[in-house]
Amino acid sequence: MPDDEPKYGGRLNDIDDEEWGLTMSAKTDHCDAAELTREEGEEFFDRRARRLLGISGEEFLRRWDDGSFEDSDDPNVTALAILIPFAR
Amino acid sequence: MPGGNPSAAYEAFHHPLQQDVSCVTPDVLMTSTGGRSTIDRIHSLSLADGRALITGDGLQLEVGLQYSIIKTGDTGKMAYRCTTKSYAYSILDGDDKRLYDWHWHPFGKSNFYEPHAHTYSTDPLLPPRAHIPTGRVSLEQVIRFVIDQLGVEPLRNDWDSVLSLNEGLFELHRSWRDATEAPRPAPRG
Repeated sequence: MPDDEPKYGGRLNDIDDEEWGLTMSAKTDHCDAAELTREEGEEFFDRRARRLLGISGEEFLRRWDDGSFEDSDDPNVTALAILIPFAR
Repeated sequence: MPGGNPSAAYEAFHHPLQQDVSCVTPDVLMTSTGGRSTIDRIHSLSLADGRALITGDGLQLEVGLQYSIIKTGDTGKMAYRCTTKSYAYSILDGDDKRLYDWHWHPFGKSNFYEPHAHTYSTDPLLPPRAHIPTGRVSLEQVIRFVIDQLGVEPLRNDWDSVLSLNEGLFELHRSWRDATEAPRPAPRG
């Protein structure tokens, strides 16, 4: 994957598992940063739309709303549609 | 998974999923605005870049799901829970070619509402985008598949225990498990 794309939410760097009784856990100190703002969400959605379908996020939403993807079996449409709440 | 308030319910939902992905990637799961606390609204959860590299030669894991935080009708620590509204888990190669998808998306823009898989088989009898029916597939099953079947090197020694524990939690709290029980959208009129 390209390295020049911005990342959100960071990566795990704090492994601590006492709470779950495991030797390691995914409990992370990044949880507070893992909810995107509306602006970040729109940017993320737009980037995913361009990567998955080669169109802007705004264009995808317009086509989604007017039914252009009705009965689509394109898995990239599915993958992006699941992310719509990031954009609105 | 329940919690005493919306945020606790979100943490109970998110934590096992984050543990699951930590078996193969250090990337975090992130949620859409309001996704940690706003009830009765559909939220999305995704890996921070949509996809994460899980091998040195470019194999990628894609995770996306929708959920809502709802009131359960119970009180105390069981007052709220997160309920999954759709999911899309995928494995892609280094050229972004899809290898396996596990989907359930009953949100009205597809004509296939049951949980299913796409395998992109080259078998001429199987259309490339055939919807192969499945039961409800958990993220734990997908992570276990990439480790056990695709040979992805786990990032933590206790991955088997983590996935087993979280799979157990998933089975304990899920409201449906197969196509006969899966929620369906309202008929299109």
